[in-house]
Amino acid sequence: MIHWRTLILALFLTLILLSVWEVTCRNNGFLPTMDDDKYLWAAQRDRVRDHDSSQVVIIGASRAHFDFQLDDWEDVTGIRPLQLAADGKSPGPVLQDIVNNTAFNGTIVMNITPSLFFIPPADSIGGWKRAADWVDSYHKRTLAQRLNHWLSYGPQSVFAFLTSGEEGDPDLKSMISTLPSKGRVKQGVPFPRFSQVSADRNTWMMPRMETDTAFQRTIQNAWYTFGKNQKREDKVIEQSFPFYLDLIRRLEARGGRMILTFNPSSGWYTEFEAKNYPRELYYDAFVQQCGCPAYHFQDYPSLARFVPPEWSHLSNPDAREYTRRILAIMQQDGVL
Amino acid sequence: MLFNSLSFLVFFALVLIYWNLPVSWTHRKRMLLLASYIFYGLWNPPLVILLWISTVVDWVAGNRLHRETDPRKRRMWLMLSILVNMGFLVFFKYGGFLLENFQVMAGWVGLSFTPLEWDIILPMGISFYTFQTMSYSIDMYYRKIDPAPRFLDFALYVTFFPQLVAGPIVRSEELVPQFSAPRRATQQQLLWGTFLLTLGLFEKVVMADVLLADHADTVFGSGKVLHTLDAWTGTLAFSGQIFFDFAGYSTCAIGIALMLGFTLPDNFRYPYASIGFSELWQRWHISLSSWLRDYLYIPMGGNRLGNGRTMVNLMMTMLLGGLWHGAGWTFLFWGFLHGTYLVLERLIKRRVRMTINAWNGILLALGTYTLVNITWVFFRAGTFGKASDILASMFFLHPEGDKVLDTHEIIQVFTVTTLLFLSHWFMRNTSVKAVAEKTHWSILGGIWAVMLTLLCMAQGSGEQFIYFQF
Repeated sequence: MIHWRTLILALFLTLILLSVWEVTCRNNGFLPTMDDDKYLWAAQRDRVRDHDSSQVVIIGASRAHFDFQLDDWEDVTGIRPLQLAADGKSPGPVLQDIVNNTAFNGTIVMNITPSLFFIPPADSIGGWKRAADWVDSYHKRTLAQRLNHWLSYGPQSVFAFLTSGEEGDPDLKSMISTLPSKGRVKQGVPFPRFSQVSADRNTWMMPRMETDTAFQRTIQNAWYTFGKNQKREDKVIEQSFPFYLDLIRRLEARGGRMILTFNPSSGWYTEFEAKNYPRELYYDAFVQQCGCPAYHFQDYPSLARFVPPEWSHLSNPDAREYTRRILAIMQQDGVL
Repeated sequence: MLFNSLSFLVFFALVLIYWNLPVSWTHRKRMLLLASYIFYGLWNPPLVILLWISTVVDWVAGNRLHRETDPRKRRMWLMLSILVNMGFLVFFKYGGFLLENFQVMAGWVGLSFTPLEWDIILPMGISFYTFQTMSYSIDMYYRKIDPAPRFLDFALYVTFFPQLVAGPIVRSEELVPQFSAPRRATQQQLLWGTFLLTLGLFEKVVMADVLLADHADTVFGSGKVLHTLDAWTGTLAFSGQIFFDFAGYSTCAIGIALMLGFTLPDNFRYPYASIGFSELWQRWHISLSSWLRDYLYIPMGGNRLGNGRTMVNLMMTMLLGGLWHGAGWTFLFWGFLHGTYLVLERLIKRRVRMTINAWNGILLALGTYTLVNITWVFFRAGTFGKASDILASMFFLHPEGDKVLDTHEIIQVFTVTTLLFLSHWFMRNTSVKAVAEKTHWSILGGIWAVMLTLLCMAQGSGEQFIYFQF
């Protein structure tokens, strides 16, 4: 026989244990954040409207995600863009999805991160497949998954202990996976979370990154490890250029507009990109063939002064300023 | 809808509130039926139509079987029910497999045949609800049961959401009578149901998904020839994962039904403590094994037609049991291995008499568990090539095999599966309820709190239950 007092005790103890855990998480720098997963992305993808020339959609990889701040964008232009950029993923499948499966004729701002942009459009390529999987998942998600995701907004925006999905996060699986290694197998390079995400996928770098040089080095080391063995392969130009150009032509043919950007990098990452994706051969050639308005941070002194603390993404204060400055330039050029 | 999701918690809270409102029994049952369709339809609304067809066909067939006296017509009505249900199963579940094998056989006789890609979605839980409704028609044919008194009761029997998509496969005499008289959960049923729901979710979310699933996935998805320790760890991880996943679902289903005042039968009774395979099948997925026994093994003659025929019947039953789990040759082979074990066990038992005590019992149980693990390799691997690689690694044939798991992961899996095995051994003659009743309320409350806390910390990433695919 189970008594009511057993259940009451269980609930009371659970409340205490979770409260202690919540305080511990907050003391360790975690704040409530959305899980930037395929469902959160899908909720934004769902907002892409047909035949609305005023709508603005941002696509790209993590630099577009971190560096374009939606509040500032809305403040400057009066329009809050949809954030569809996705960390570690190519914009290719997303652009393909919007062009093929919608009648969108607004503005797409596509940021170019060379190692995720100039890749063959194939599922055998990780950055491509990860994006393609999200697109596929958007089209296949069930009503239950949509409802479940919608219900998760509330708890995720209140409790820091619900932060999950990335290394070092306070969820049980992430904690167990970071138990000390005994070296039996080669360990992946540490890559802890360094961002927070809002319900509409506005993303900002955790403030700790601005001052904690050890934390900066951890992420820099991850970029170095990911890229150090990558060889320059110019044949990707023949594979990626026609793919994007065809989609951009089709977007423009129905009244849509494409704006290209190249957001700041620093340190080893800038050298890596200059070596493996020389600007004149890749970015400049693509911009020339595309004929779209394009904004490379190195071309504008007011944009070139920003230095990403971990080589690839701007701190939040810098991202806010960068967003305002690049929008001012775009407005000056009359493209926005 | 998954039990381990926020949407289910909200859905079930609403169902519970309505269920306990002072409205008529018929209205409450209608709401339960509607809730069951919503529960299923939120996954894929059009596939609710299959449920309706199955419900209507078996309702009509059942009534005609009850009234009809002409044996030929009665056989015809039974065949209709079986054809419709098996037709759904064959089309949705085995269509691609049959087409693939037809293509191979056509190639053997020199015919070039390229079928269109079989892109048909597998309706969730189709193997469960078709078997459940077929049992009704077959029991009606043999006049073992009376027909359900009302269509609403029968539709609820087919669609009752706690056990709709992954069992237990309930017989009509176990559930339909419960729809006859108004019922609400007693205080004890509500409390015990809540405890079982917590326990089931804990098994699924914490034990299966957090502690074991990734390691099984790493090993079976590595595509490498593995070191012995890694192969064993992956296999043990899967044996634990599939138990916690499936038993967790059944425990949730039983708990949820109990919170509404309904009783569902046990589906698992500490199977990894089984001594031998005939006992294993009395403890693992009991509702399926008893279905196969009553509707396949016994009608084929069971053990009444001599030893040779008994063994053939055992093998046939297990082969079909394997095929029930999945449309693939590895599932069939999994059934073949279980059939072989049952046949060998029967032969051994005729020659060797042994008194089981605690000491030899645990060794025999460990031996059975080890052999079960070998069958899981075929169940999980997907292809014979991968299964033979894993088995060769498990039996020291690849001493230089690749290592894919770290030491702490191996320790974690061995600790969890050892505790799982020991807990099954010590619980084999008792039940959670009996143990809970003997435990001081404060200790039980503490255990409950730990489960709830770990559930919240694990959060449940909404991983689907393994048995949904069957």
